[in-house]
Amino acid sequence: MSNDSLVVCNNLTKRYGDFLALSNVCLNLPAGKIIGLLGPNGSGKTTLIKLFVNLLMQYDGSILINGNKPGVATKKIISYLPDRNFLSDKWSAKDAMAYFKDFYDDYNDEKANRLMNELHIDLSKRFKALSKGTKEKVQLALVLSRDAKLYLFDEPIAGVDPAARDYIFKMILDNYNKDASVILSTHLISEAEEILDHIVFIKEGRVVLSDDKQKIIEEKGKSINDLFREVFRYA
Amino acid sequence: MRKLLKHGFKESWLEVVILNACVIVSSIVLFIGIATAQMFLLTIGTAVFIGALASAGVIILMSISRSFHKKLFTNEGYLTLTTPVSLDKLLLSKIIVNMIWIFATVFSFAISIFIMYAGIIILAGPAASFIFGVLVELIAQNPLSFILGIITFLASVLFFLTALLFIIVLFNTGHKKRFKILKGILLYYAFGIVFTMISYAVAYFLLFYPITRTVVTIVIMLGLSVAFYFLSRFVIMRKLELE
Repeated sequence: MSNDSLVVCNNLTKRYGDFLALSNVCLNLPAGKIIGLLGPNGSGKTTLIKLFVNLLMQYDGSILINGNKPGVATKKIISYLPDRNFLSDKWSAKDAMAYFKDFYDDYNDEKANRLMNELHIDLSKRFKALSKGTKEKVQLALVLSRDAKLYLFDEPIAGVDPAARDYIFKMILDNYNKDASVILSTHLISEAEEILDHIVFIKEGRVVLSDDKQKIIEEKGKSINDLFREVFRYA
Repeated sequence: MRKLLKHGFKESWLEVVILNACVIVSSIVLFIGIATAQMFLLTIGTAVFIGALASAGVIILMSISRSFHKKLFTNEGYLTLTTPVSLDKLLLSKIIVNMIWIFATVFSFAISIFIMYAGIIILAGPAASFIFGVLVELIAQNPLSFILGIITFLASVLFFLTALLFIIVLFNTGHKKRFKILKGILLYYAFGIVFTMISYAVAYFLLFYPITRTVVTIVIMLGLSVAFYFLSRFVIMRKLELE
């Protein structure tokens, strides 16, 4: 593991029954960068993220995050936004903030209140009374309210309109802990390309490319979006 | 653990408190109805008390299932299982919270019976209090049986909770998740049948040794509870795949 690596995977393999979701993935993700985990639907992006956050505990190979195997120690430094609503419908934003305050040492209550205020969230309203978009905003605000070492965003812009996508990226860029790394999984490359520092292409459970964005652009002589279309071209 | 317990109670207090409040209030209504011989109060009190009695099992079972199932195996699991606490603390906190709710419910039913009985004493005079005397005498004569009875109750609650946890875990992990409620009920009955057979075998071989029989039954229940707990933990670690 190099000194500036935050996430290191060696021969990481994950199967769901007979289906091979990840095959011998070797990755060395740098600290302090915004990393794009790019690939089409079903390529293994979510599986990889679930392994990082310890939602999947059975795998072959090794994963080290900040020098630790996924577990309690890594959960303390990872702020994770899944691709679905993970908050109880019985809760209000205030309840969710209380939960984060109790369990995450790096939770910043002041930042959470500021973000909720900026997003015009009614803190006492239960989630079942909120729209899907508002719930997503609350979740994003909560995840960004942590001064984490690693942020994991699983498809944060899927299913939202282009204007909202820009807003989400802006919110992430303005509010994440600048010393931290961000892993952003998406299949919407053109929208995400601009903000990324490091690119990982994942195809059918294999990492086919992992490198610095500028280096890739210089070496290949094309944009990440064009390269993505080339690598993931349907036969 | 303290924070997990706090949030566990916060999540589930409402229905249990309403249930227990219904039990206590209906018993007070019955107490007044019995003591003053008012048919109207007796009717209302009896209806609410029987309603609470009939629904107690369902409410408690639903509350337990929700705390295990919803918090671990639905979308909410994405938050629960990424919270920086160990899996053991997570599972144990849920078992403790549910145990306390079951004890609270049993306790409130016991209190309500005493309240109603107090109404009978007022109506029929002090002579009716002889049952208390008999009860105290029985406990005084055989305190060990009384203590073993309480331990048996605690062990059976733990057995029930861990068996339920194991069934919920089993049918929420892996890919084959069809008919999981039906399969869960059938498996629970299967566990019940096996445990009853074991209990009968113990009773048969230790027919003339009641204390030993009770102790053996407690040990079996505690052993099975530990087994269910570790099996649940093992299955979660090996097979959990949140959708």
